[in-house]
Parts: sequence; structure tokens; C-alpha cells
Amino acid sequence: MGKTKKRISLNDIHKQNGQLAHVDPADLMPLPKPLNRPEKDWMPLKPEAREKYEASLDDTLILNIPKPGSKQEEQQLVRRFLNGLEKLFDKHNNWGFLQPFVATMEHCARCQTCNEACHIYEASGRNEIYRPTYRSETLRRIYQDYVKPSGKYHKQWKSGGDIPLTWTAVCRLAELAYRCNLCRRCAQTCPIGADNALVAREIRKLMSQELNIYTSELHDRGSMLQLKVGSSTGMNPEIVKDNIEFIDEDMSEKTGMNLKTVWDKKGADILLIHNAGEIMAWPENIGAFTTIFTAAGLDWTMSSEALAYDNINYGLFYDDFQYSRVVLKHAAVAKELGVKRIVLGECGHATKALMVIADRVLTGDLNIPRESCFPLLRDLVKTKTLKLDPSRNNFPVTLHDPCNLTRLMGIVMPQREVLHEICPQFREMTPHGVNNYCCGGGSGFAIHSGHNFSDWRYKISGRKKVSQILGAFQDQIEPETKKYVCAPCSNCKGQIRDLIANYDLWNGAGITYGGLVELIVNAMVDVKPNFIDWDEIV
Amino acid sequence: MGILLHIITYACLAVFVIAVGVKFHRYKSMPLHLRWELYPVAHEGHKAHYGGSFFEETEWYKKPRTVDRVSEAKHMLPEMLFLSAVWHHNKPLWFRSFPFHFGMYNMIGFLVLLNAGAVMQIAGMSVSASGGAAGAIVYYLTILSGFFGMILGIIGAAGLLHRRLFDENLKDYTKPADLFNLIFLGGSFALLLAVGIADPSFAGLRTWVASVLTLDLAYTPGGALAPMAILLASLAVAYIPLTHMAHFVVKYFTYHNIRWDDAPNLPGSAFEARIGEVLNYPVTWSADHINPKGEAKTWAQVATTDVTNLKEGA
Repeated sequence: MGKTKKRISLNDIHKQNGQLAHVDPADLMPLPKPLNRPEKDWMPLKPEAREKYEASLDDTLILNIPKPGSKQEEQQLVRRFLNGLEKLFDKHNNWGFLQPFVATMEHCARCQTCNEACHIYEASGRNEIYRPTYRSETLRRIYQDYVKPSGKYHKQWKSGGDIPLTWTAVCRLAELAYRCNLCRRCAQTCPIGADNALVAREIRKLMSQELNIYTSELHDRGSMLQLKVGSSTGMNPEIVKDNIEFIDEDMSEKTGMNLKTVWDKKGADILLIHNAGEIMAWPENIGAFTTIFTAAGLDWTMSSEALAYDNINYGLFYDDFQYSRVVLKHAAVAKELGVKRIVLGECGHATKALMVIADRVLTGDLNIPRESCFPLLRDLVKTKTLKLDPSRNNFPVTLHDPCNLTRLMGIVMPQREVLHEICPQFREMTPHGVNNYCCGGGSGFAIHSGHNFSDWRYKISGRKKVSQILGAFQDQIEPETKKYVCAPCSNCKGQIRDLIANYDLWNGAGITYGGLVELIVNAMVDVKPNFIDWDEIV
Repeated sequence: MGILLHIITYACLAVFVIAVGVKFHRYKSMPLHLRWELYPVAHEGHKAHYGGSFFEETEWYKKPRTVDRVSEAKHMLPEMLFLSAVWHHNKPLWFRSFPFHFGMYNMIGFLVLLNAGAVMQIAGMSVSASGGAAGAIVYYLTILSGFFGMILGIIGAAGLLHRRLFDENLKDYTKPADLFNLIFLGGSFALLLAVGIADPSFAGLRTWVASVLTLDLAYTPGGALAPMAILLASLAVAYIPLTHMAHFVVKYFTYHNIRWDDAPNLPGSAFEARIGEVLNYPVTWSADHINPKGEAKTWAQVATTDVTNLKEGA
């Protein structure tokens, strides 16, 4: 195990001694060619931000918790935090995660095995506060010292030392819950089965469900906007239909096919739900789905009902109720349409939310069959339903495995079988499949760019992915060879787009990115060549 | 002395059984939780080796589900016996943790063999090198598992203690109880080893076990070492399930009930009733977007609340 560069103790979390942790760019994990050079310095947090918000954890800020106006306010926050902490251990308030959470809180041996699995800890140069165990052990000690009924000496014996529960400690812990991508790679390595990523999620949940503390991107402009308007992109049904109509026209011209999205078809075989972010940022992904489904002659529809055209579910990352509200709406629309199944587009967290987590929320006629798009696409490719010419994809391609789809759902091979079929120069990242590394945008980070958070996302949480991408292409790293990172997940794609832009990997190494369906359409012989237009990328 | 030692031994065994039972029951009776599996899921048959799942199939809900218990056992046995996860993910720890755990397993075997030998003794059979095939086998295996277990246990406990004390990555995460646990268990192993050196056939301990089985409360093992070792070992047996070392119980749940629990809720399944129950649990979360007025609401009521009129920040 590597040595930690900076020694910060668990007890330091409550101390009002300025910024708790700093990552020196010189300590960051080195990157392969052509990024084997010193990292740029941090984009600093503005003094106004530090003045206004509690920003003493590290070099960045995501939560924007205003500094309290009085001692009473501080005490109230601490009191509400303790109330929430009790609720996490209560079977009525937290039935959904009680068993995994309690098992982790009671039986983590603090052996630190999980630390080396964490891309954030490794990329930061092993900064103490980014250990998966730092936040969970802090919470554990607070629980044992302040909530669990036991005597003073027993507490000392079990917890190893009090962490004075101050406003600073609560705020830092809340902020620290947003320095984890919730990818659960750490949990995968735990010999006991403890899950320190879940602890990060449960802290987020406590802060949201009890203290109204969340990020604006996930809540106000995320799940709440989606519940109120229909999509976290802000698109209402009319705007979505307009946009899709425009995409259909554009893609018809681009592919040479007559494409028309089917809306609100009762009794269709498939209700296709995209991540609505694709409509705004990557319309070619939407168009590629329409092209494939049309060419394959599938019986499909999209819904123009609010929420049902956007599979995003940010509640998964921070709030059980927000999450449930969205899945209930998705299921209700599918039921109303009478479709046989819901197929989720290229979005990892949404697929997991609706297929796995919702599995124990939806019952009766709301329990509509749900599938990822990957097996369907694999079947269409393998059964030769689509006429494909792999030589159209004769450039180096690597695959990013979205954590939610692989490690957390076991959907590993379908996307690979497609790529092996249509991309002659496909190569894997190391490691890959269920052992993959998060893109660094997981748990919603990809949509967070406030203050200097994007800098943290590039330099630390996304660093391992940059290293993996470059590693996969090292044999042809020169920019003249154009290369493609297949990132079949909207959130991951946003992060990889930002990483490519930040590190200038298009100009520096000829690397671009996109989804899986774009590669399929690019290989379709019935479609005009060059669906993936390298000239457009510049 | 003999009576007191017997009472303590019975009490410690009772504490062990009750504590393990309570722990198991507590976890078993926790409510249904949301699916939170983590791949690879060992019972996924031919997909398990790469971490695949039934979700890789179209219309998976129409197809028979494979739950391959052999594959599960193939994964679980190396994990239980050889700590394969530690071997794969933390080798420096494995060289300390494996001897400790394997020493424990041998001590469990040692205890079983002592009991078997004691039963044979009670039945009038001889447990010795010249005690016939069965007697000789039990005799030699007792010696083998005893010494092997004690020596491995001491090495493991010392190694883990050294790591807890001197590894900079662990120091801050080490509690007084962690150090005590290792010293206590290591000390118990050491004391038992001393008994074994003084009585390499473990005849004295076997006779003690026979006295426990026959309620022969008057029997007192000879010398000072054996009673002390029995006392310490009994206390250790009672102590283990009261600590986080009871992960041998919890690991069943973390693997079978959490990491590998991918049982789908198909229409009409037994899950539906259980989901109906948890959705009707009362909730007291008090954030503005959940229950701002503090009304008595169930989980389902909160999840179906219309939030379209809530103001920003709620």
C-alpha cells in the first residue's frame, strides 16, 4: 500500500483551522504521454465564495452551505444533523438501505483495503481525506459518541476518541460526501462486504432529507425541475417534441433515411426513454437510436408526457423520495400507454434507477418490464437485422464501462459483442468490465461546474479515466490517428467530453468520444457514410 | 475452583450462542432493503466469471433465472478458508490476516476434536497413539490442529498488532478495542500453546472437556497454566460475538443478502407483499420537500406527494 503524503487526523475535521486539506498539483498521479508533464495549478476558489460559504474542506466547493449568522444557527444545524443521523438507523425512515448501512457502520474493520481501489484517493496522491474510510469512520465515531446509547468509557473504548461535533465538522462531512463518485469500486474489494460508498450516499441523503442541504444542480435544477416541468433540462413536452422533430429532420438528411419519431403509441412493444440531456447536447445519439429502431422495424414509441421523455433520476445520488417520485411517474406513463416494456437509452444511472433500485418500489401494474438498450442493440447486430460494414469504423476504439451498468448491474458483454462485431480496431481499457474505473463524473459530478469544481473533477476524480484512455491508445497516440472513446452513458459522456476539452486530447492525441449507437449507425450500409464526421469535431 | 471454572465455561458458551443468535436474528429481521447488488454475483452461472447478469438478455423477465449454488460455493469457499479478497486486494494484510483466521479455523477444529476425543473417552475408548485406528486418528489430529492453530494464531495476532501499531495508514483508525482484541486473542493462543508444550497430547484439556460434557463440576485441571488458559479461552469465545469480530455472522448477510441479492421482483412475486409493508412505514424526515408541516405520513404518501407547487429551495 502506498504511503499517504499528507497526514490529517480524523479529529481534525472539527477544527476551525482554515482549509483542512490541500492537494499539491505536484502530488497528483502522473499521466501517460502526451500528458506526462507537470499539472497546472488549481483554479483558486474566489475569496467571496470562501467568505460567504463554508468552504474549509479542500481546494473546491460544491454544496454552498452559507455560513451561519449566529451560534444558535450553528447549534440548530448540529441538532438537525443528529436527528437525521438517528433516522438513518431507523427501520421506518431508512428501510431501503438499513441493512447494508448498518452492516458497514458496525463491521468495517478499517483495514484500508478499499483505499487503493479508489480512483480519487489514488489520483489525489493519496490525500488523507479522500480515503473511502475517512468519511465513514468520521460518521461512525460521531454516531458512537453522540447517538448510540452507551456509556462514556465504552464510547472511548469503541470509538477511539471523540470528534467534537461542531458546525464545521458537519459541513465538512457534508461536503466530503460529494468527493465520492458512488462508483462502489471500494465496496467490491472489501473482504467483509462493507460499503463505504454507501456511507457517502447516506450522508448526502441525511443532509437532503433532514437539513435541505443538497446541490442546486441535483435538486432545484435537477430532480425538482424534472418533477415540475418534465425534465431536468427544463424542456416541457412541447419543447421536447419540437426538438425531436428537428433532430428527425436533421438526421434524415444526414442518414438518407426517412426518420420520424413515434409519439404516444398505445400498446407499443417498446417505450424508449432517453436521457433528455442527449437531446440538448448530443442530438446525434437520439437520431442514431431513431435510425436503428426504424431500420430494424421495431414497434416503439416515445412519450410526450412530462418526465416520461427524460430517464434522468438524480434522486439516486442523494434523496430516496426524489428518486421514488421520478420512478413512479415513469412507471405510471408506461402503464397508461400500455407498452410491453420500457427500454432505457444510453444512460447508466437512469438504467440502474429504473431497473434495479425501482425493482423494490414498483408493484402491481406499475411493475412494467424494463430493459437496458444494450442487449437489444446486441441482438439486432448479432442477428444481422441491421446491415453493417465494419470497415466504416476502421479506427481505434476503446470502451468506457459506466459503473452503474457494469459493476452495479452486470451488463458487461452486450456492448462488447457489438463493438467486436463492428469496430475492427477495438481495444479494452485496463482494467475494464466490472473492475473498471469511474469516469470521475459519476453521482452527478458531470453536471457540476460551480466555483472551481470542474477543475477538481478534471484533476482528481477524472484523472484515472484520462490515464486509462491514454493507456488504451498508447500504441497510436499521435494526433494524426483519430481515435474514439465509446462512452455509452450520458453522464460519463459529459465527463469525458470535458476531460478531452480540458486536456486538449483532440489536438494533442486525436481522441474524441461518443456513444455506442453512433458507431452502429456509422457502420450501417443503408446510411450515408461518415455519420461520425471527424471534420465536425474540429 | 473446578466449579467456578465450569460455571464460567458454561456461561461463556451460552453468551456465545445467544450473542450469535441475537446478531443473526437482528440482521435477519431487518426490513426488506432496495436492491444493492455488486457484480460479480457468484451465482450467475457461466456469467459469474466476468461479472455478467441476467440483465444482459433481452426480455430477461420471460426467461428462467439461473441461481448456480455450486458457483456460489466455488467463490465462497476460497473466501472463507483462504481470505481470497484480501489476497487479491491487500497482500501485505493477507500475510498477517490469513494466519490469524486460519489459526482460528484450526482452533475450531481443535475444539471439535477435543470434544470427539472426550466423547470417546466417556464411552471407554482410548484416545492415544495406541488406541486403535479411531483413537489414534483423533489423537494425532488433535495435536496437529492444536499446535498448528495456536502457532498460526499467535503469528497472525502479532502481525496484525504490529500493523495496527506501526502502519501510518492505520494508526488513526485504530481504537483501543482493536489493540485489546488482538492482545487478548493472541494471549489466549499463547497460553494454550504453553499448555500444549507442558502436555503435548492435550490429555488434560480433553479430560476437562469430558468433565464439561458430563457435568463433572468437581474436576479441576492440574497446574496453574491449564485453568488460566481455559478461563481466557472461554472468555474469548464469549467476547468475540460481542465485537465487530462477529463479521463471520454479518458476512453472510453482506454477501448473500446484499452483494449477491439480485432476486427480481417479478409480477406476483413474494416481494410485492413485503414492498407493500415497507411503503406503509411512517416517516419523520423533515426537509421542506418531504414533510414540511411534520404531518403523520407514510413512505408511500411522501413519495406520491405533488411537489409542483413547492418553491425553489424546498
